[in-house]
Amino acid sequence: MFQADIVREDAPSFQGEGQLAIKVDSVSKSFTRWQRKEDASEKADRSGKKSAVEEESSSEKKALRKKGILGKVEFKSIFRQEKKTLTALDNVSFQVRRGEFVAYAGPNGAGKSTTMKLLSGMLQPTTGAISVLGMSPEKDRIALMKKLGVLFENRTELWWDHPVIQSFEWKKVVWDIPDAVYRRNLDMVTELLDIGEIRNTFARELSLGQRMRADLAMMLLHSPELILLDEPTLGLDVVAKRQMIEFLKRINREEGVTILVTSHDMDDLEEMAQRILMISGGKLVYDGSFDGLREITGNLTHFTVTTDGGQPELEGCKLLGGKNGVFEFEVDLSCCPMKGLLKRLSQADGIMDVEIWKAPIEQVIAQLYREWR
Amino acid sequence: MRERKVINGVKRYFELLGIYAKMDLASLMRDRAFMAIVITADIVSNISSISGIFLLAWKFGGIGGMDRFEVLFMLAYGNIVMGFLNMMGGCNALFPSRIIGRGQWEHMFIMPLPYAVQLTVGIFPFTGSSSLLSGIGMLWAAVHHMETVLPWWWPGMLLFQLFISMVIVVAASYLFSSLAFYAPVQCEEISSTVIYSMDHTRNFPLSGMPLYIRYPLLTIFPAGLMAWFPTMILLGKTTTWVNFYPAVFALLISFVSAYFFRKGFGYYVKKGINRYVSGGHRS
Repeated sequence: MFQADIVREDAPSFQGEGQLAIKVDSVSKSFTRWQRKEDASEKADRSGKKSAVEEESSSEKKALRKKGILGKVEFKSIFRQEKKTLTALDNVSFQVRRGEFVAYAGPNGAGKSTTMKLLSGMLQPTTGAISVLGMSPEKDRIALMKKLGVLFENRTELWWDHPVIQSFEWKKVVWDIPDAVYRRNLDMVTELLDIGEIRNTFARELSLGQRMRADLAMMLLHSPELILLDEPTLGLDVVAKRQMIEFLKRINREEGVTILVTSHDMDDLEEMAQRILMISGGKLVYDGSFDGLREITGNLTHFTVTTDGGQPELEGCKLLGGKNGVFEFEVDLSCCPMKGLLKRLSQADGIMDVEIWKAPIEQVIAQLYREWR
Repeated sequence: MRERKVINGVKRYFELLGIYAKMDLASLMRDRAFMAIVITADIVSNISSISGIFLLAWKFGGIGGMDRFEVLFMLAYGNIVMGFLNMMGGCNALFPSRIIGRGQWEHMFIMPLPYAVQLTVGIFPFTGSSSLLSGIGMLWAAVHHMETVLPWWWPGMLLFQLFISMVIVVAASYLFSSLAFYAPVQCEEISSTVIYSMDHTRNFPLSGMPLYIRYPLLTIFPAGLMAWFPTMILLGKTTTWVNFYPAVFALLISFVSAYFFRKGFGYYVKKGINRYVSGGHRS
């Protein structure tokens, strides 16, 4: 109920199909997989409860284990395996307009990568329809791939045993990129991603950050209209991450490239994207702005109070920590409005300085993830 | 308009072959001494792999009704078949179960080319041609020493039979690779196991072998169609109607293979994902 409401309130609606870069309509994706069948005691162990019968069987097992008859892994579990149907995506619908920069987030196993694979035609949905740049990833794969750029964090399209520039030349031929477009884009990515020095280096000799930059550069050589990025900043150092973020923002702003990006780094996502789609347990649970997301969790705000030494008593505010006269508080502005907070601060004794800021988006998201579990 | 499209298509195909050939040449030129050692070792290895059979034929003046140079011709024919396929299938196109098992098909999805084109343009003409070169050399030596007078159309027939044998090998590889769509890890090497088993078996001359050995090797495990049977056709040792058998078999196995490969592929894109397919992917 909570999750569905969030999507309905913030979901943007678009009029024309032509202005859409992505249209996902009631898409579900399920898989089957083998897994070991849990016995009653395992279930109880997991839930932390045990019935009298289970207690008894558990003590018998302990005795058998002591005798060495049963190992740590139950022998019979080898013969008791079951096939389970797993729903990776459950009736997911959303749209992305051309030129938008959208973040796609969710906890581990939520269905982010599955969505990316569905959008890039690597998988087909069990039910529902997908349209990317007005084309079907399944039926119009070749035409779509000429306009789509895909970058997965754990994959590289670079040729491992060749210099980076060789991979670029390979791409020019395979994607049939006209000379003028290739030269223009090569100059652009070389300058913006600062890859001049690594262009002639073998891909296998690059650091992770360099490899990601080279991969990103290669992805852009055919002037894609839509880019799908799965964890592009994962494992990058601060400098490489800044470079990547600035570049993505720039091509979105100046070239009008539509970008859909997944990441676990919420601060990065907030800096890059204008809108966030959140998925949990295969369901779309939020579609809207980052500020809207904060409001859902109660508009959390943090503030630091510097005093002459004593801890101020502030009703409705939660003390997060304090040291040497500097105390950090958290307050929910939807319950305690800013006016009231300022009044309380002005009435408190010994206050020398106050600094107020929004709660980090990481904290907001963490709170949501905990609620969804 | 249609002609123009075909010409552009052919031109583009050669462009693609060209970029892979260029990359292969770049690898070769990077460390010429090292590559020379690798290619020489490959040629020596290819020749030594068939030398056992040839030495037996030399010692006994032939095997099963084939004289020593006819045996050499058969061995050379097999080397050309496998040599050409190895050269063309450098990007594992000859072993698609590896592509599936290693999750590499995902790279193919995002390339704006038909899968058939992607699978056939990844050539290694410079670093992967040692087996082909040794085969051609051996074939030339065998024909040079044979006393048979060859008719004018014989080279055409040779090329046709080589093509048919290659189709059979590729079709067998794709047929067994279909299983990898359902169990990627378990079947990752199934195509190489099948093809290399056929490759080892094709060296034995089947002339004089009992029918219960010969027939299975010409049908359910068609190693006999990789070298021995085409050799018999090319040397004029078969009856006319039997000469069509390899072509008919190639057509049949190609259809069966295409059917099962498409079916497996459909399963893969509908149900498959590296984390969920039973057995998953290696990477």
